Amino acid sequence: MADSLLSRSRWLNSSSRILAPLLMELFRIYAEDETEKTNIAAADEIKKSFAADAAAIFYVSGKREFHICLAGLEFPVALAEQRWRSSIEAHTAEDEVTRFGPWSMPGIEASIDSWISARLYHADDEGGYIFLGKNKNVWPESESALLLEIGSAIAPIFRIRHERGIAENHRAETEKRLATSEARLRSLFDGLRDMIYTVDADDIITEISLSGCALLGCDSKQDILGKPYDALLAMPEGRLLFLDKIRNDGFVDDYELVLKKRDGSTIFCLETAHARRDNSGRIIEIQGIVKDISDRIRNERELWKMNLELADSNLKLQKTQQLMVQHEKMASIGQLAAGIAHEINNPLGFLVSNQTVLEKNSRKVHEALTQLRAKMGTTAAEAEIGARIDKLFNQTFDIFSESRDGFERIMKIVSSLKNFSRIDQSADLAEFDVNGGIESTLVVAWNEIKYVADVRKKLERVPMIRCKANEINQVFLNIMVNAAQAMAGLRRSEKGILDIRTVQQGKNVIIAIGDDGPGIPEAIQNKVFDPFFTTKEPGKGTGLGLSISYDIIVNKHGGALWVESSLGAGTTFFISLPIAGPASHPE
Amino acid sequence: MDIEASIAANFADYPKGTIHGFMEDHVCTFYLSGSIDMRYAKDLQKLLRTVIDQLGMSSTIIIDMRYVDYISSTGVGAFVTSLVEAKRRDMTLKLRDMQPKVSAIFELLGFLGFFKEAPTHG
Repeated sequence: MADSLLSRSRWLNSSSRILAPLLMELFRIYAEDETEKTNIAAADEIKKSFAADAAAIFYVSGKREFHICLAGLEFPVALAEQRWRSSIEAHTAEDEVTRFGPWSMPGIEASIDSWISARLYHADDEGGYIFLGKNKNVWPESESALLLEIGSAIAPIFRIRHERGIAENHRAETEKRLATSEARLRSLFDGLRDMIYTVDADDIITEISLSGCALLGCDSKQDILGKPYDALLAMPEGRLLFLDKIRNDGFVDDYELVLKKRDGSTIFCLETAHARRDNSGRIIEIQGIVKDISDRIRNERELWKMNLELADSNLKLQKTQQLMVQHEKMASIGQLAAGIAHEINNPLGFLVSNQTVLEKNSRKVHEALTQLRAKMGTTAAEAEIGARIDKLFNQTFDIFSESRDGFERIMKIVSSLKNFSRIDQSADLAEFDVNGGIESTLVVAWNEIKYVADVRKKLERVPMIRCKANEINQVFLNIMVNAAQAMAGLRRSEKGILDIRTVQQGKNVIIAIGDDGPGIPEAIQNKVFDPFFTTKEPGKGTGLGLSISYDIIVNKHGGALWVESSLGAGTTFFISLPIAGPASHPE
Repeated sequence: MDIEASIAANFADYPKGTIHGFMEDHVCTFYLSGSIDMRYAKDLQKLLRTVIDQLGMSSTIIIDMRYVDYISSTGVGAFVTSLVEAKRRDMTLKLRDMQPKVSAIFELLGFLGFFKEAPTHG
């Protein structure tokens, strides 16, 4: 026991001579330099203090690189993990010094006879180790214990450095990942074709992608940053609605807006955005993506326009067809009337002829009987018979007279119908008696007129005009019937006046057909010649009569047709026709 | 035709008052309000198609826009498509009292001139 204490005391004396200065030196080395070179300096110092032939410190860096710091070298030697592990695993033990040798350390070609090693620290299956080698002499126990002491003393430094290295490496890797992530996001931000932007709580632009600059026609972000977002909009007031939505819902999906480019042109865009809020719920930022949809809109717009134009064309075609049908109908009615007139005319001819012969013969029979009575007796009975015969003959002559009137009226109507439709004329222009046309038309329209108006005519002597008579008569008829219907609509107790005048004015003949009906409101006077415009109840007017009249007078005959009217006073239509006919034949 | 029933069939999910209409003397009048975005436009187009199909030829549809504060191009498209359908039936589709920011979209798209404008109401 006493020997042991003595031995222990001697060891303490000798070890403290080495231990204290070595530890002081090692602490100084590690305090002055934080690089891995300090491990080489430490190995050098330990080698010197232990008078060893070789010293090395094995450790794993924060980057998980396997190193060996050999005394005498300038830099740590990097080892493959396998080689590092094979070097230490067979030559170290936990909490004690391991003795072995001879052995050749990685990095030292020559084999060294005797080695001692100790573990400085341990983390998972890695750690730090110190190896000391000596030729020829075996390491005494005292130095092994000293190595263990030194190892224990500097182990915290190694452990801290190791942990810090790992932390630094972790931070470096995190920073690298962050940098990569940021680069990727930046690439996404600036590389996308859509505009990405952020605005602050006051809707001031704080960031915008390069694609946004390109979309707006700007050269640099600086042209846009710091501006209010609504400065980019063609209709800034629309932004208020957008901000309201985002305040209420926290996001806006597919909101359409119109951006204003730097050159003043506009682009239709679709925006999706969301709000970032702080802990109190206050909006601190709005982030949005804006997609240019101008191409889509352009295509849709062209399609819509094409459909609209097609619908317009179809409608126009339908109306033209109706107009043509009505035109044809009017012409057909005229032709039909003329045909009937023609058919009536023939039997009427022989009826009139027969009536004339019958009347003539009756008068002869009456004369013969009168003469016979004069030669016969004059008794009272004979005188009575003679008087009865005279009475019968006189009645018969009255009937003949009435029939003659009837026949004359029928002949006048037939003649008017023929004149109205002018079926005897070819389709070409021909000389036309305007006054005669008016008279014929009055006969045709008489049934419409006679109960509602008296006719007042002032037809001056006017020259014959070149025209298509049947068409001009159709115009007269349209206007007269319209006038009669307008006057009938007033439902007054007295008849109205249909006033018809003709006059020559220079190279034209003017026909005025007026009524004292209700008049046409000024607002629609310019519409009365439009196709399908009518003020009549549905089903009572096609709205085509005046339109067709306008076409006949203006387009086909080079004349003019206009209306003058005042509410409550009546309406007058004026027709002006060139005496010489239209300048160029329309057909 | 029952205008309110047609509205209820197409606008059941919208806030009350988003749209209402009535029929008087061959004229069907609708009052719209709010934002005519993509969804609204789609439902409005369906409603107008139903009404146009049911109304007689030569009827008139008036759409009062005074309470419409936003319209998307799809909304304009709904009106244009309805106008095409109306023209096919010789009907008239008129818009009335548009706010400037709404008529500006029609103008930008080049369709303002296609719509007859009904006289301002009230």
